[in-house]
Order: sequence, then structure tokens, then C-alpha cells
Amino acid sequence: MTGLGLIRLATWREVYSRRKAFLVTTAIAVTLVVGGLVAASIAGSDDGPPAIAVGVVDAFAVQALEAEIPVYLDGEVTVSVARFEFDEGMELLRSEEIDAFVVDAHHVFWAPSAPRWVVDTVASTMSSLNLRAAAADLGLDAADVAALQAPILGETIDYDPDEEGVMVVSVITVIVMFIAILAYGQWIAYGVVEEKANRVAELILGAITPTQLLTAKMIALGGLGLTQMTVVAGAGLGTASMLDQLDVPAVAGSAWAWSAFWFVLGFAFYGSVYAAAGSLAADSQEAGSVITPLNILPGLGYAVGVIAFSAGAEVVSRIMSLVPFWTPMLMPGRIASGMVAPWELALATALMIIATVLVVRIGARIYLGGITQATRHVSWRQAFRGGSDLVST
Amino acid sequence: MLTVDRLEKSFDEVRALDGCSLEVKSGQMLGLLGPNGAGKTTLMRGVFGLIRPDGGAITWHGSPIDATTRRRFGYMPEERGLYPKLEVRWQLVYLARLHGMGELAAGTAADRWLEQFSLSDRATSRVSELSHGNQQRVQLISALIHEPELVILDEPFAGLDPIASEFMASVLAELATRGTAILFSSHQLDVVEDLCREVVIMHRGRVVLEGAIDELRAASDTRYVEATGESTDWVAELPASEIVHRSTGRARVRLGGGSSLESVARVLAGSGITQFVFEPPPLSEVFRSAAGS
Repeated sequence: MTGLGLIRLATWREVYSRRKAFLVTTAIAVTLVVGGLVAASIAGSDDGPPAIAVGVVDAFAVQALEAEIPVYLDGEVTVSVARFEFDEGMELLRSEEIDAFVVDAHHVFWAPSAPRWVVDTVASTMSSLNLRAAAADLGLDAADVAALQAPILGETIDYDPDEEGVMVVSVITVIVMFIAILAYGQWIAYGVVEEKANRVAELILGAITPTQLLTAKMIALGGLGLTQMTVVAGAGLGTASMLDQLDVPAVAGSAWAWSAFWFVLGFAFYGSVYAAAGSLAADSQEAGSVITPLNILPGLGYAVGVIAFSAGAEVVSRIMSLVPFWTPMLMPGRIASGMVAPWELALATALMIIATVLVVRIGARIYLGGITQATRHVSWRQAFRGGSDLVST
Repeated sequence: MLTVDRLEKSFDEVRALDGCSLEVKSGQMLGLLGPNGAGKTTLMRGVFGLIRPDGGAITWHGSPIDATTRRRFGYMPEERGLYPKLEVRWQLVYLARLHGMGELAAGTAADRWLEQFSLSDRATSRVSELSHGNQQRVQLISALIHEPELVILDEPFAGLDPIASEFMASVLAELATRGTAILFSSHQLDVVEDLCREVVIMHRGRVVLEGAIDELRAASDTRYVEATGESTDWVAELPASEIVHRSTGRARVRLGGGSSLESVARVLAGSGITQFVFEPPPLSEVFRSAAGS
């Protein structure tokens, strides 16, 4: 059997022995994501569109307010304006049945917990109406006033309806990449520990070299990780799109493609680190103390990535995305948001490939040194030295 | 033929192999003896490329052992190794295929071996669900399923009951008659004496004694006599001899130097003892002597 044949065979064993865990965890992840989106959709559907209720004294500008307020909110608001006596209006205001009570052209009372956007909208509308009235008093006609106001309405709001969707895709990408790298990296680590602790490694290393065995693990678990990532992300975005909860932006498809690219590099990087760590432990009881500290590295990328994308802290995510430890988690999200310059992409790719080649070589050597020390715990240094002590490389 | 030629290996300050040499011919079943730490396991791991020797060479039919050659070998490590959650048959087929068998041939071989070991009804069981003895059997099958030219077994009888040991011994004996070279280590010297004609005794990384068991025993200066009779007065007439075991009507005596069969027979005849056994030391004593304890 050729070397490729051996790798294919060992890859199949990895997939076969993890098939149930893979199906169960994928089903759970899809259920959680889809269920969470559906639940959020149901909970959110009771809210209806935003609404403003305004009271006025003596039918002051009722029609003008009804017509003007939606203009300031791009039409996505329900406005109701009604006339009340002063005492009645103030009572409704206290009980918050109305948001604002307009007493005259320059005097408005606000409900105790009137949202900031309601205050701003009503105040702006009032100012606009006052301006028109003043302009009319100065002899300007309606067309002149409209000409004065038009540029403000047309150019002061720079709103990208896709922006929120892109941010969500970026954050989802960070989360999915983190979970995939962490989960499948640990599968590699604990798989290595199992083979070492059960002494299977001693048995099979006579037939397959450690390098071929490690390659098979990376291909098998990397493939499972990529498949699960695709299924879960696809289910999440598809559900959100069907529920009209999120406009799946056009970048989602390319975000996935970039995520797959970075996942392959990231998994080669972290997979070899986790495999090396797993080979150091004597048994599964000891494995946690060796493997868990490694989780800090992808964990840091995850935490900073989510915060940076959510808060729009571009400098932080930009710098961290160039560091190979975190490039696989942050770069796909940055690419989805369109924030990446071509030179940054080239630099990050080059750095990541160099780092991956280096880490894979070092990790493979440590793996060789550790996996053949049956039942023994070895230090990183001992394993690294021992890795050069093998014939079957 | 497996040839180990002056093999050397040190782990930091510990010299595990110190110029170890031995040969295992096709069809030969060679027992590898030695106290703990003698270097037996290191030697076996060297054959499978699990360590890089500091010096010396290991060859198979005169050629260095590469990965392809190694796949024609079978190995049963001292610490048993199987995937506990994988089904027995699936695992055996996988291991056979790793050693170069086709899928169909591997499946057929797995079924045949499982039947021979009375494990057919456990083919779909996980290894972890089997008893210790049955796990040992599966372990042995995994070393033999691909019909290897050389089989190396590290303590194959450890933990087995007498019936399982006897069964495993019979399987190995049959393999040897079919031309397979077999090297196995064991601390159960009675089993070794039953199975092997030749042994190698290692101590501190070197082969200190090797050859046919009968010849090694005969080469010893020590002799024993086991006589039937109530009286043991005759022991005093044999210089430097001592009773090592005594039971009703029977005594076992280690003879001092220079006591020949003729001189012993003469003394015993004078004491009225007509039935006795004159024999060289058992393998265990040869082993202890060679291992320096």
C-alpha cells in the first residue's frame, strides 16, 4: 500500500470512529442556532414597528406633525397625533400613553421614559415646522422652504442597510471559527492521547509512519470541522433569511469561502499544536492539564474579535488579524466587512502560511517524540528532542 | 532471518542496549529472556523503528528494514494496544489493511481468525466490552492477521490463565512450523521451556547467554539429584552438597562441584537408594546465573 493509501485508510478510521459524535454535535448545534433564531423571531414579532404617539393642544399642527415625523425616520414608523385638553394631555403623558405633548410651537412636554429618538424626532419636526412658518412670515413660499431643507434630508443620513448584516456575519464568523478550531483541535489532542494511553500507537506505528498518522488526523478532523462549520453557518443564515430577521448580505457567500480558506490554514496551525500537546500527556486524566492552557490562544482571538466587531474597534481587529494566532478567526470577518486592503490580505496570508509551515514542522516533531513514549508524560523539550530520534519518519 | 548486530541505544545516562546481537531464523521460535530493564523491549521497539539506535544495525534477510519491510512484520507490544471503542472485526480489518492486505482478503482473514479463536460471536462487540483474556486474543490476532514473516511478541503470556496460555502457545507453535520467525519475551520460564528449543538471555543491554536450552543447562557446572527414600544420610557423603527441597520420601539435593553421575550412583547404591534422577539445573537457575543474581 502506498503512503497515500495509508493516509486515506487512517483518515477513514478517524472519520468512522467519530461519526456518531459528529452527527450528534452537528444536530445539536443546528438545533440551537435555528431554534434560537426562531425563538428570537417569535419574541420580536410582538413588538411591531416603532410608534410615536403625540398629543397636541387645540389641534395645533396635527396634520403637519403626522406628515413630517415619518420623513425623519425613513417612513418606518407609526405616528398618531391627537388633540387633548391641557389637563387630559398631561395625565396621558404621566401614564405614558403618549410620548410627547405639544403645548405650542415652542413648548413640548415629554413622557418620563420617552426614548431619545422620539425626543429628537419630535423636536426636529417641530423645528422644521417653525422654520417653515418663519419663512412664510418673511415672504418665502413653500418651494423656497423645501429647497432650503431638501439638502439636509438628502445628505445628512449616510445609512447602509447592509451594514448591520455585515457586522452580524463578521461576528458569526468569529464565533463559528473559534468553536470549530477549538472543538476539532481538542478532538485531535484527545485522539492522540487515546492512542498513546491505549498503546495503539505502538502497534500501528510499525505499519504507518507518525507523519502519515498525523496527516490523516488533520485531514479527517479538519474535514469534519469544515463540514460542520458549513452546515451550522448555512442553517443559521438560511433560517435568519427565511424569517426576514436578517438580510443575508451578498458577502455571506464569499465570507464562507474565505472562512474555509482560513479554517484550512488555521486548523493546520492549531491542529498540529493540539496534536503535539496531546502527545505529551501520559493518559486522558493528565490530558486536561496539558491541553486546556492552549485554549487561551484561540480564546483571546475570539473574545477580542467579537468585542472589536461589535464595537467597531477597527484598529484592534486590524492589528490582531495580522498575527497568525488570530488571523484565522478575525480575517474572515474583516473580509466580510470590506475593511481589508489588498496588501493586508497578502501580508496576513503570507504570515499565516509561514507560521503554519513552521508550527506544523515543530508540532509534528514534538508529536513524534511524544507519541512514541508510551505511558510516559514528557515535557515539550523532551518531546522535541525525542522527535529527531525516530526512524519511521 | 532477522539479524541484530551490535545494537546500541542510550536514553540520557541509561544504556539500554550495549552491543546487543542476536539472530532469528525463519521457522525458529526464539525466547528472549532477561530481568526487567535488560533491554528486551528497547530491542523489539528498535525492530519497529520506534527508536533510532545509536549504533549497530538491524537487518531482515541481510537488508536494512524499511517501512515496506516492517509492514510484513507482526508486533504485540508489552502494553496492549487496541482502540477500545471500535468493533473487533472492523479493527482487525483496519489493522490488516494497514499491513498491506486488500479489503476483501482482510475481511476473510478476520473472520477466519475470529472463528479459530472462538470469537466470531464477538465480531461486532467493542474491544472494551471483551474480557481481558479475549482482548489478549484479539491483540494476538492483530499481530498475526496479515500472515507476517516475522512476529515479535513482548510478554504475550502475561495475565493469561493456563488454558489461554496453552492455546496461544499452540498457535505460535503452528506458525513456526509454517516458517514464520518468532521472537518473544517472557518471564514465564516454564512456558519458554515448553515452546522454545533456543533462548537468548539479555542483561544490561547485552546478550549474556544464548543457545539451545538443553545445551545451556548441560553447560552449567551445577547438577541436581532427586532421590526417593526416607534416609538422607547419603548427602553427607557427597562433598559440598546441600538439600534444597525435602518432602515425604523424597529429597532434592544440589551437588557440590566434581560430583559425577558415577560417584553419585555409587553413594546412593550404598545407602540402599535405587531410584534417583540426576539432572542439570532448570532454565530458571541458568537464567538467574546469567543475569547475575
